[in-house]
Amino acid sequence: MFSFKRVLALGLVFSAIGVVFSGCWLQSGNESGDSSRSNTFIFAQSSDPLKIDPHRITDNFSTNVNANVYEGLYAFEGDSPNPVPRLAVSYELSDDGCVYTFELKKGVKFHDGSEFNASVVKRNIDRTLEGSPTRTPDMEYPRVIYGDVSSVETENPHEVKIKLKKPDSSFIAKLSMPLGSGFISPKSLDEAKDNDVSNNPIGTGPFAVESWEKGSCVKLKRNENYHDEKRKSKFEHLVIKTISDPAMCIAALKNKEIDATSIDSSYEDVVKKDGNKVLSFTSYLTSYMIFNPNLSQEVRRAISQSIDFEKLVKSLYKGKAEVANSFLLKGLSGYIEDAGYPKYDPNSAKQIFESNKITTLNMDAYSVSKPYNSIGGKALAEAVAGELSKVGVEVKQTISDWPAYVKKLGGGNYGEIAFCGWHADYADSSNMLNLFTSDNAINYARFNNKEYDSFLKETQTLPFGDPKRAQIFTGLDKILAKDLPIRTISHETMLIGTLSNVENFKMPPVGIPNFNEVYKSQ
Amino acid sequence: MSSEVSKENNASLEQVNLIDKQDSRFGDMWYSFKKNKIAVVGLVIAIFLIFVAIFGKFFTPFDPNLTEQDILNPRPPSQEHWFGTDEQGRDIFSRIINGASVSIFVGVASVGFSLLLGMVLGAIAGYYGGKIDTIIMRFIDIILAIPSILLAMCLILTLGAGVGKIIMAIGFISIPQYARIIRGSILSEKENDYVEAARIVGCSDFSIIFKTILPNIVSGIIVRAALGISSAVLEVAALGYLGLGIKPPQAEWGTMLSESRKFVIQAPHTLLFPGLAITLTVLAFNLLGDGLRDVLDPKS
Amino acid sequence: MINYIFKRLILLIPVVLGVATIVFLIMRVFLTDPSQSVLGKYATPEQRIEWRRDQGLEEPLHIQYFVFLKDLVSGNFGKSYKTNLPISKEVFLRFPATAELAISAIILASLVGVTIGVISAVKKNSIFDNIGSVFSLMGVSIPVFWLGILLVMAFCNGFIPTGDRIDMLLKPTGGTGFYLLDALILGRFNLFLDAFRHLILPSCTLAMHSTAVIARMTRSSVLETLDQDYIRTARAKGLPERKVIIFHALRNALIPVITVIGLQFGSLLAGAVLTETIFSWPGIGKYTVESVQSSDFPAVQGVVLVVAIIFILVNLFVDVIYALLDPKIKFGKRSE
Repeated sequence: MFSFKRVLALGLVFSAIGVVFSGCWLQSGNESGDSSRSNTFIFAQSSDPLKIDPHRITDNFSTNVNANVYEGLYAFEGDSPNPVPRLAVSYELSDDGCVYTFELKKGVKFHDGSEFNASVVKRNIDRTLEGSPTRTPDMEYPRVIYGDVSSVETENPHEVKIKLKKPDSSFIAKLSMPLGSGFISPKSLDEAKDNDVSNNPIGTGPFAVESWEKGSCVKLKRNENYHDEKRKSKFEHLVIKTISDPAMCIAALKNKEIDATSIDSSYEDVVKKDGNKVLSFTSYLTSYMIFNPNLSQEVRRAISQSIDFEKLVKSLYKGKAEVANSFLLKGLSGYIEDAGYPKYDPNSAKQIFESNKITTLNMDAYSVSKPYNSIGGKALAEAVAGELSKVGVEVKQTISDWPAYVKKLGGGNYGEIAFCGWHADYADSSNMLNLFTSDNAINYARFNNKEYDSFLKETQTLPFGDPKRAQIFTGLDKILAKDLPIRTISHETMLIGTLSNVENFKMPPVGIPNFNEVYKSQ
Repeated sequence: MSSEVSKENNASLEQVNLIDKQDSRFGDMWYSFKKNKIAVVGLVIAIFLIFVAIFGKFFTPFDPNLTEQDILNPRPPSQEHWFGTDEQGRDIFSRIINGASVSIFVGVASVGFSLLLGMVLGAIAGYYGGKIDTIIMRFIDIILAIPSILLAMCLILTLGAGVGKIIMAIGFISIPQYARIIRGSILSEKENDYVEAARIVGCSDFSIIFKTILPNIVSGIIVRAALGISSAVLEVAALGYLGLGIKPPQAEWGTMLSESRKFVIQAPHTLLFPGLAITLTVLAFNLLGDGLRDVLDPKS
Repeated sequence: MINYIFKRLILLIPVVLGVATIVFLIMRVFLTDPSQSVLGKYATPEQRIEWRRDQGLEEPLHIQYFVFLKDLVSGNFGKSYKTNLPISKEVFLRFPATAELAISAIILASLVGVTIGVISAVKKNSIFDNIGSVFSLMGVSIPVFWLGILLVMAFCNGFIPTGDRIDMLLKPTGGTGFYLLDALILGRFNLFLDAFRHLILPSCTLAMHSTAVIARMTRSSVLETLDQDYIRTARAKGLPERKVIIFHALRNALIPVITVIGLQFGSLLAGAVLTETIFSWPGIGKYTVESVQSSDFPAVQGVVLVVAIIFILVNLFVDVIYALLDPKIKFGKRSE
């Protein structure tokens, strides 16, 4: 214990000097290290990816990584709802609409050098099929895509024949989904421990995984042997970082620590004031109200009439969302702006409530914020309740956390009004309108309309681009507005904040960004 | 103080002269408390806060939950809104006042909860000893082994939302310290003659514990309680920050801090005032606790 | 002495068991259904029940408990529902981050706290003492999460980053996971500096509370020691004041302080939850919050157990050190 105090004091002085010194040192260090920073694109998201296995992911955070590492036969680009060929070159459809024959692209190699061919396609699809020993319960998205596949045939290495149990004209659109459709290298599948390829994620995409620091970031590097010269990444490295606190995300953007991140509408002004850009992307998001199946047609109409949705959406989302007067969205086949929901008419509403002697209603809502509802279920529920109270109806709100809420919806134990939303995963109207077929287990509104079901079925037999298909979709949207199992509320846009020199940031409406085309101007 | 020492050595005299002793003891305590200026400051602020907590809500300039439509961003402090508004147009000054009653109520109630349960457990463990003691103390060890914030989080998720549940969750965490004090005290006093005497005379266990042993530890408990209120206020705020606390629209400082995270860059006042309120409250009860400790329980 | 340690370690087992049981009860009995986040939005209620059955969640509670204990004894902490990795691996991957943060914070807190405490005690009631007291009081009163955000707003610029542990471009692969250490081993100075500048704000935030506690404890301990008879004797003998303090007072005064430092370290390791969340520090605190929010039972169970075990071991270590240093303590007779 010699001169303890002195040692302590010296220690403090030393650390102080060290900090100051390293500050100077580091600044000069930074300049020379700048070249590697300028060669890297850094995107921040609020949660860590869970797996890097394209068949087993069910969340957006994992998909952001997966969609840039793995590729499928088709893909979405930009805002076009039409799928573009990726690993397939073209396809032929049999007359009965059940057999798809794909011609595969030649010369495509995985990140580990293995060849991409028909047997790889078969192996990947078979991995996810019902009854296969390698199928796991979390392969939900492959089930949406390949659920109706009866067999996959590979007669020659560049041709795959997929037979479906029944015709489905949205099959190509499903194949373009970023979730569930990627192909994994056969070597990687062989070596996978526990049927999870996250430890050795090998795909054909423009980026290959270099390292994954759990809880922190995923580091990817450019695939130098990428099969499409035009789509090769401009950056040598891509980093997808996890920053859990949104305010910290904005601060990181301000300090140029990251290049882009998705932001909430409340940050739009701040980001712009910092001199950065805010990009707005349309997306296939619909937030809506569902009515309890026991509620009469008249009362549903009254509830719709008592809410001024235009004003509500404007004040709640302040420009980040548009009021939704139809379930479909711009860009989707069959979209019309006004499907015919009852217009705002508080007097008529009041009369109906009075004549039905309704003074209170029960409302269930979720608590968290969702991609289709960025302000959160509680705020939305309160706003709607506020409108209803103006016409003399008191609303009793029950807010539950998400899993409990879904359970309530599933069991039909919700009040007269509840809230839902949907993010379309592929660019076909059927993905949105399918929600209301009577045999759909997640048809929480329990809409049961035989006409609706048969019309929707018909669209699956018509060719993808057929104008009749669009007509039917429009008609289905109108049926929803007439029968009122639901009332649509809003369509949100997705906002991305980027540094001012970031150009060409692309995000298709399904909500997963493509990082290979973005670049930074000087 | 020498007068105190001689009093404690005469246990029987104590019981006879109970009333007189308390009066002069109190006078001595107040005198030395007053000398500790910082403690007095703490007491004053604490009383002020309690006053605000109880009566403040009748005097808020605005309705703390009154929102405004068409408001884009929080408004900075102005003549109309002394602390500004939040992003829904609610007056922050009113919400801070409203939040005071929640925080202090939860603080006091959770201390009461842990005190009650802790005392019961500690008394049983100390008085009856043996196997019961071992079991109870192991249970206490288990509570202590889990970090308080984690335990609070898990308990809230179990019990659900609501002020009562939060009080129980936060109170649960502090049970060990009260249990230990009581138990320690009982263990050391148990062998005393007057306890034996009381038992022979036929006093019930309950009254023995209450009337003879407890008065000796009251001072230690009061100190812990004051400090306990301050840590309870911090815990409530921390839970509110994590989204597990008092649910909106009820104003609560921790929840206000968590909601202000979004606007911290463009509207720092939404971050500043709730944080200051928490700090001030915790500070006040810490000062009070320290002052009381200097006066009542200088050995600890 | 060995006996004592052995006895304490034995006692660890029922406590850990108790912790595990409490966490099990909380998670299984009351917590919500994790299948929602695992299976995604297309999952039907039937599929969710099937998943729950696969995970053994549909069994009666006592059977679930039995399976849980059986796994625990064989070292199997279960697999995360979200990532399907063994929990032991998930915790192991994140532990160095928390440890590095806690160690930096406790070193900072000890250096600063002891210094302030000693000087405050020696110069009792001076300006320094008063400022020190105010600082200590503020330190225990300011909420950690508020402080963190304030520091970020005040100090973040190009030099001091807003979060995470290191610039991903410089990150070494493999190694110990302790970046400062790895940098020294590799001899890469810029890596060391990078890790260091990422550590500054989080450690300061985390250290604030402990610094205040240590400072107060040091001050009162030194004051008490200075009051002792042997100090008066040393002074009477004519020793210079400085030597009195350093050779006689500090040696004894610091013993309880070391206990406090040890306990604080334990609670830092365990409770860095809020700090890690603010600074996106990829440690076990942040992992716990994420797991609780997504109802990942095995993860929460695993983390709480690991943390509890560490906490108990640190406390035992502190007790042993204290007993070694303080000649007055005898083993076997411990008063609570």
